[in-house]
Amino acid sequence: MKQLIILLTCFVSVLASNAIFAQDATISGYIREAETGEEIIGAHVVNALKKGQGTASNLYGFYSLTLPQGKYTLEFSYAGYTNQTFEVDLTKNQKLDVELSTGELLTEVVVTAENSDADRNISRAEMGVIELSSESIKELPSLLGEPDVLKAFQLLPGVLSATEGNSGFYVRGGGQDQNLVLLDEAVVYNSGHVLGFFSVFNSDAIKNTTLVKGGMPANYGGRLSSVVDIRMKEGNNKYHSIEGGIGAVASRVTIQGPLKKEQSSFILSARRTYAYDLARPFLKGTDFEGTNYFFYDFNAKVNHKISDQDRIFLSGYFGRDLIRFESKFRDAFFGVNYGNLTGTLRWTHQFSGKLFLNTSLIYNGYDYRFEGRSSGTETNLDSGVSDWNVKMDLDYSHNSQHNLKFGANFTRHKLTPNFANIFTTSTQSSEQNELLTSGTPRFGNEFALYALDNIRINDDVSLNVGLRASFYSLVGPFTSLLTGEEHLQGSVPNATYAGLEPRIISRFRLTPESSFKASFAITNQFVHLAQNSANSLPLDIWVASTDQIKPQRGMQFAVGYFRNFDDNKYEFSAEGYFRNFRNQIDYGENYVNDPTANVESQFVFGAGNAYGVELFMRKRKGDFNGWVSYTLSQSLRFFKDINEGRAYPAVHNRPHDFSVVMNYRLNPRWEVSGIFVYTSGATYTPLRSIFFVESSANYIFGNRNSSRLNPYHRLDFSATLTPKPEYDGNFKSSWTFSIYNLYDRRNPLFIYYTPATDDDGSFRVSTRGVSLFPIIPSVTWNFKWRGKQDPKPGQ
Amino acid sequence: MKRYEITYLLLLILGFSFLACEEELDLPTAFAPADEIWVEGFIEAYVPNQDLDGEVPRPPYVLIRQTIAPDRSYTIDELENIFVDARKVTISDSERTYELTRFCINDDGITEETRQNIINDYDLDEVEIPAVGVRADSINFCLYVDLFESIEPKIGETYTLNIELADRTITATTTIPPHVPIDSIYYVSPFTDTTFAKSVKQMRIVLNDPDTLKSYYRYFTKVNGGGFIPGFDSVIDDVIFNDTITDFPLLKGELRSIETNTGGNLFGNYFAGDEVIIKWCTIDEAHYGFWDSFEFNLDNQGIFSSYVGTQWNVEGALGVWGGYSVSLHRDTVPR
Repeated sequence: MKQLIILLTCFVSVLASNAIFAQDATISGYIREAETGEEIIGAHVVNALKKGQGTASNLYGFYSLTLPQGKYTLEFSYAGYTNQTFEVDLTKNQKLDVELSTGELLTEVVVTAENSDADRNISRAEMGVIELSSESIKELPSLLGEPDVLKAFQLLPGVLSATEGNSGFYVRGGGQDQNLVLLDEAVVYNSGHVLGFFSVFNSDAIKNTTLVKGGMPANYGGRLSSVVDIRMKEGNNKYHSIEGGIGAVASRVTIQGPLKKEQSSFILSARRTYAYDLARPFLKGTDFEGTNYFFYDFNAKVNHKISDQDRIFLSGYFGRDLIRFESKFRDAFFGVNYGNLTGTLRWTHQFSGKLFLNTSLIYNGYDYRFEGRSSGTETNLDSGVSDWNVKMDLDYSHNSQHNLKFGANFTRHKLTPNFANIFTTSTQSSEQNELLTSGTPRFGNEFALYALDNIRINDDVSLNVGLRASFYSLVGPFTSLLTGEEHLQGSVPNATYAGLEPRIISRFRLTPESSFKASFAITNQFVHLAQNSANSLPLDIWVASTDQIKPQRGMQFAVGYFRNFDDNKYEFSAEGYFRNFRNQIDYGENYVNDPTANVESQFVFGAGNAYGVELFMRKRKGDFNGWVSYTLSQSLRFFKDINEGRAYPAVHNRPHDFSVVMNYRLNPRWEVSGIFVYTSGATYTPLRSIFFVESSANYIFGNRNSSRLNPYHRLDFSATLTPKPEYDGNFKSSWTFSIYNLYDRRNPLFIYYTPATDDDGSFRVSTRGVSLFPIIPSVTWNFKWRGKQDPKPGQ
Repeated sequence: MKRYEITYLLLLILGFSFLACEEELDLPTAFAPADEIWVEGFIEAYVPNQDLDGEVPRPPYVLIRQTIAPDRSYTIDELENIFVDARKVTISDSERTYELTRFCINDDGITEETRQNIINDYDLDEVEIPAVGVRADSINFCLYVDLFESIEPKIGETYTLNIELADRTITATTTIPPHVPIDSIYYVSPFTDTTFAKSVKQMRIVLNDPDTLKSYYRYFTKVNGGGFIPGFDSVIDDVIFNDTITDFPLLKGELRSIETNTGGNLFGNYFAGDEVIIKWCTIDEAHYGFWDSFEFNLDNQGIFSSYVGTQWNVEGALGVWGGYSVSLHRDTVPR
């Protein structure tokens, strides 16, 4: 707390000093997309004659730039959009809303425009921040034709996929649970459908996606490794439109438009799979006749402009995976039903050109339910997590040298790690006999305060300095596994934690085309994900920090060299990092899944570290663009009760990770893309020896994760055809042809061991690898219909 | 019951099964495989005064073998050589210590009668060497036995196993717990389809579990002669039915080697007219822990699970030393 006070005092002193000596004026407003009226996140506003003087629009499209009084030429820009330049006589505070226009999105997806944020990678005090638009994600080849934002991130340095085709990911050696995945500020605890093979994010409903993998600014907290901040579209407030896509396994449709023109708008977006529905005729008469599996997503958002200063937004997401199996021949049934529900109510208020407030009330929940019946025994298992979250974030643009953010955040967690309900129905008496009801929810309160300042010391040096103070308290009912002490509902057991999280990112310009950056961050995390597999599975459970399970705490130090070439056409970066994580949890080596047991009693505790070097080369402009990335890394874990206390590689320890992404626009009709991925093989725990009991060969395992599968590599290809690129009518469409795993590489998703007999009768144990995705072609038809629009200027 | 979730979720990937491909991998060995000592010993006390009707209680025995390496093949001759010769093997109860005798069924000097008795006692003519398809009595199977049947295992007694090898001493303790018998047996048809409903039956048992938490059970079945084979998930604990009268299915024992498994809808079920003997055992916690983790180890590899280490109750080596309190239940599956 003392450090927090010192830091805040420093802020105030700096602000006061500037206020005394400067005669400043502020220009502020919103930057929007001309066609749809959507606010643009991260658009740049700079003084064209002195590009070091500038700012960017915040997460709500609002910008505020305070400069010494005078005349300026201000340049507004955003990647993929045409720049706008305004002559401004800044003698007093003023408001200027700007609209940036782009070509038709279905055809114009490549970054082509020269813009003033082209050197953002070297000019901003930020590290490891990458933005991807949903349009650029749709360009990439994808599994079964489903564009996937999380898989696109896996092509970047420092980001590894969980397993083949999986949208679960690891960032810089951290666990999957250490990634804060946000959808309109709501935490998404399980971001995967179908065992994680598809992410829950419908690309049509997404406006902007930002990955922060390096120095996490202080306005983000609650996770150790990264932030994936996904913002839904607000809804076109100029005209109505319908767009969508029809693919091999899923289709999607999005409807949006103004409710009251340029004052309020809505967007509705839905997606559903139907592979099993199509297969049903072929399952008739088999034991799988009663089987079905599908998932769906539904996104909705509405916003209303109350006044020039006030806007409200209400957005939500609802998605489920539904699996059902009912035997045609036997008394056997099971159903699995899991998914996320999020809701965000936001109010933004502009106090002045300098001060902007966002207040959000957020609910998010993830739940998983299994129902099984066999031979008169019924089993129901439930697990889940839900949060109520209230947060306030303020942006204060003090002057061209100080841009502050500060705020507070309160979260009420409810975690239900494992509820089991088992009962039998006696065939003789038809009476139901409840055998077990187990599980107790955990409640936790989390509170955070933060302040950060983007400080531009001079043209060559800038800093992002922040401090986050986080507090957590477990709330009863709770019975301590350590002491046996019982705590009643609402009481506070001896499981209260607080931590300071200093964050600093510094940028030193070396030349106009290059800079050196360094960052340091400490982060706390009060929830843990218990996983018994490398995959991201729906039955992974979230558990709260208790007196036994301590909060995760991490530190990351990173340095980087950033260099642009050929007028920002090429971008290069080399980053190195070292991280450590404390208070990690895992299942013990003799863990046997038992829903009747208290899950918290089944964990062992340890720590970890990770370090690596990331190289990234990107061509940003032109018909031919893309990137090459390479990461060399290590991620180790140390658990007293695993591997006899010796260090061992994390399950996602893959030292070499190499990706190439290429897009080439052949002509206005055709665009082709390719992806090549090469990574070290996944770790696995090898057999140490084999013994025999009762006609079975049984396995004794060696050191955890001490062996490695053969390297993983894969080539994907896609081609997008826009039949009538010049057509300016209301209805447009395009075809995307995609081939996943072009040369049919068999990359094992998992391995298992089984006894085998050689031709000469000898006995051995065979290691079998199961690969799930051979070469898979797919085709998706995308369409967009636009309603009546205002005539374009000059028409 | 506890494995429902995992088993059924395997079906989740059915949608992709038409795409999946499986092949044998030749992975580089990055470690030196270990030859370790593996001990397997059991001692059984039968519930007094029950009608065994020709069934012979299995006298206490101990197997001491080396584990084998996972990175090579083993011929039958090589599998014969994994039996370890101990200096001395003893079993002690609260009163005295008994020494076991090493017995290899093909050794010179063994009379045919003794050989046959041992083979019968331990079902060596029924049990296959795993996955090789060779009966255990076709190799020179070596075990330590109470050759003169001087030990009379008792329910409630604790037995300590002591093995002296050239380089170490191995010890283990097990208790034969009080017996909880099967209350009754009945059958249901597991099929809704009439094709199988009349001929295929699922056995269910009724059990009156005592109010002592932590009762552990294991069962074997013998169907139409042959040997006792453990159920697929052969161990049960009473966490969810402590102190209740409960009923649940008892699956027919199936050898785990792939060739002999009865797959699909018939798995674990009985045919009408089958003559069934259930060997129903109560075991102690450590013994249960071994079989529970052993079976979890076999059943849970792959996408849904990381590896599971088997829990031993032997000190100085790997292995299990387990006591059973046993009752036999005979029945004929009704038509």
